[in-house]
Amino acid sequence: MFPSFFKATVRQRLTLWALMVGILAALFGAAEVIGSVKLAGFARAIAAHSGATSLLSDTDAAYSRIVVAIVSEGDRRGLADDVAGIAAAMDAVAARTEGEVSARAIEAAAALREFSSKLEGDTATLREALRKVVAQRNELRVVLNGAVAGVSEALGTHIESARRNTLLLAALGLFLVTLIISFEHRWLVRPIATMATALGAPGQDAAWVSKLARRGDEIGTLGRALRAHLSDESERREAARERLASLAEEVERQEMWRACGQAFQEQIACIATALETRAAHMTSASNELSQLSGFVDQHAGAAALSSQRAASHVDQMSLSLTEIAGLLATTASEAQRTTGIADAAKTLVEEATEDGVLLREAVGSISAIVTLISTVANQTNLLALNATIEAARAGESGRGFAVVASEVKQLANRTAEATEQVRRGLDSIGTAAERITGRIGALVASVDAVEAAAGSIAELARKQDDTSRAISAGTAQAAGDVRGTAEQVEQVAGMIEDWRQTTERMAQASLDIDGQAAALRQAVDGFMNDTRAMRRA
Amino acid sequence: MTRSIETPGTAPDGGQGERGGEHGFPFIARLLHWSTAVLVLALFAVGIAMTSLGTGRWAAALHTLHKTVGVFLFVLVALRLGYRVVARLRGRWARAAGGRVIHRVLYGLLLVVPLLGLAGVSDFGGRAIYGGIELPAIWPEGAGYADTLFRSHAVLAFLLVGLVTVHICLALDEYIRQPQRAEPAQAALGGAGNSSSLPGRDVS
Repeated sequence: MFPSFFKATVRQRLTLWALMVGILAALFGAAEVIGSVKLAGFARAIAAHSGATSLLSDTDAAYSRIVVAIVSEGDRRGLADDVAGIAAAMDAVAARTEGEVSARAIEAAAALREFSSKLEGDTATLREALRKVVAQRNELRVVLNGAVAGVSEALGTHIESARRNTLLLAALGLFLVTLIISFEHRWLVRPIATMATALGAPGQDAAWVSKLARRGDEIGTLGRALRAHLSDESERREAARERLASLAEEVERQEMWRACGQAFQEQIACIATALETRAAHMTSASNELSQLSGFVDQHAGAAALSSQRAASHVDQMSLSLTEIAGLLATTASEAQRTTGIADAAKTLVEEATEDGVLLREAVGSISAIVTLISTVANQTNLLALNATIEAARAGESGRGFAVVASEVKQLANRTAEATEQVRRGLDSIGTAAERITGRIGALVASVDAVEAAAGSIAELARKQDDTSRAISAGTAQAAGDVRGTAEQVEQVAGMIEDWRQTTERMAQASLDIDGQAAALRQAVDGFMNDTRAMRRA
Repeated sequence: MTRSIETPGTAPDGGQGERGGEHGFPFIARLLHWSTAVLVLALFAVGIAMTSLGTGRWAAALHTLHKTVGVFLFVLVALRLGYRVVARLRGRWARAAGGRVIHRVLYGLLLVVPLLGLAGVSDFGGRAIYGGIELPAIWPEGAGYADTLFRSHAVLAFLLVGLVTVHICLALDEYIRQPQRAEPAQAALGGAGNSSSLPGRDVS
């Protein structure tokens, strides 16, 4: 039944309420205005009627005087003024009132004027006129009273009906306002409050919100927005929960990885440590080995050298033995020759012994001559001395002689010296001859010994020859053995050299391993520190 | 009028198209509904004005107008009920919020209030209306109950207007809560609006 433009939005509803309340208020206001206008009319009517009543009462005195004067046949002078005053009052009443009252007042005024015109006439006529005036005056009073009563009654009715209208309108207005408030509370306040609650605690009131979202007004728009927001929110929450779950998983996984990594690192660290230790061991071992191999090498070198030397010695010895064998042969023959020579020597020695005796005799004779010469030399010397002294005494003429004297003296000295030398030589010769004699004797013995020795030498040489032959054979064999030994020693030395090189390489490798193990440890330590720092962060 | 609320879809009954057109109610039903609403409002305003005036030329004219419009409204409501029966629109009344009860009471008041006014006029005298028509007397003239009849007429008229506001609120409530399908709005609507009234003379 609603027109199509009416969507019951809040604005339209408010307009509707304003319209309804406005109509009610307008009706109420119109009723009040009409009532007050009517009250003013009543007030005016009452004022007019009471004014007329008081005017009427004001004329009571004049009226009494007229009645008394007419009835008692008294003095009629001055009545004309009273009548005129009353007539004027009637006119005033007629002017103030309306309707029947006014008509009556006009009639009364007319009657008074007629009465006034008859004032100079006879009494009977005057009385008739007075009666008429009195009747009209009473009628006016009655009408006036009736009018006042009518106004009062109308006023009462009006007030009652106005009160009823006011009461009903007020009740209706109150009812309308109550309705509006309660329904708007239901349509506007409650949904908003509930939406606020739903916003605060999503999840609740979902059905209610979706119901709200179907509404066509602003609340519906809000509800749709809220529903969208809530569903977004719940989706987002769901997504966040999922993300959180996956994050937790991720964290767990990472934790696991980290634990694995740590264990791995520790293992690696262990391995590195072990590696380091082993490398150190290996290094020291290889060093020792290297030293050892150096030592061995040295000795092997020495051994090789020695064996080589031994080989060469053996060779030499073999050679020497061969030579010795030759020599021995030679010796044997030489020994025989020696025996011969010794025999010859023995003969010669015997001859030499004889020569020695002759020699000693010759030396004795020479010695006597030398002694003679020496005596001559002494005497010559003395002579020269005397000549010198004589020359000096002769002076200048003796100078030449002096020179000859010194020459003689020198000759004598030199002769003495030479004599001495000869004598010494003779002595030595004598000594030597004696010694030669002794030696020759020894020589004879020696020659004998040599003879014997030569015989034994020949014998020995023969034996030696046999022995040396055997030795030569053994030596040749030994030389071959020594050579083989030397070769083996050389091989061993080469092997040891190889070994040493290997050991050095090994030492190098173990050094490398050591360095790498250290690097590994460093890397692992750094990594662990980083990890720890990261975890702490 | 009266039809109240309803939701379009629901009502299978609507005989004529229930939702006539976009509104779910046939044009004639809507015309009857809103004419009733306007007449009730006019009668209410005229009744208040004329009781405020009480007596006088204007008051007499307003009384005659009130009576004339009241008769018109009474006839209209009768037509409406007849149409309703013929068109079988009844089923569209909303079941919630006492809508059915409110509608029945509204229809009853729309018939009773004018009759009370007519009875008062018959008792009081003055059954003439515009157009030179004399209304049929349904109450002995001069029976002396005019005052009571008029007062009841006024009180029931106010009650009717109060119910109309309730009717508006319930209809709006129904309308607002109804799922707005497709085109928002529409849907529902029932008749809210005003309701109306019978011709009653209000107050008087």
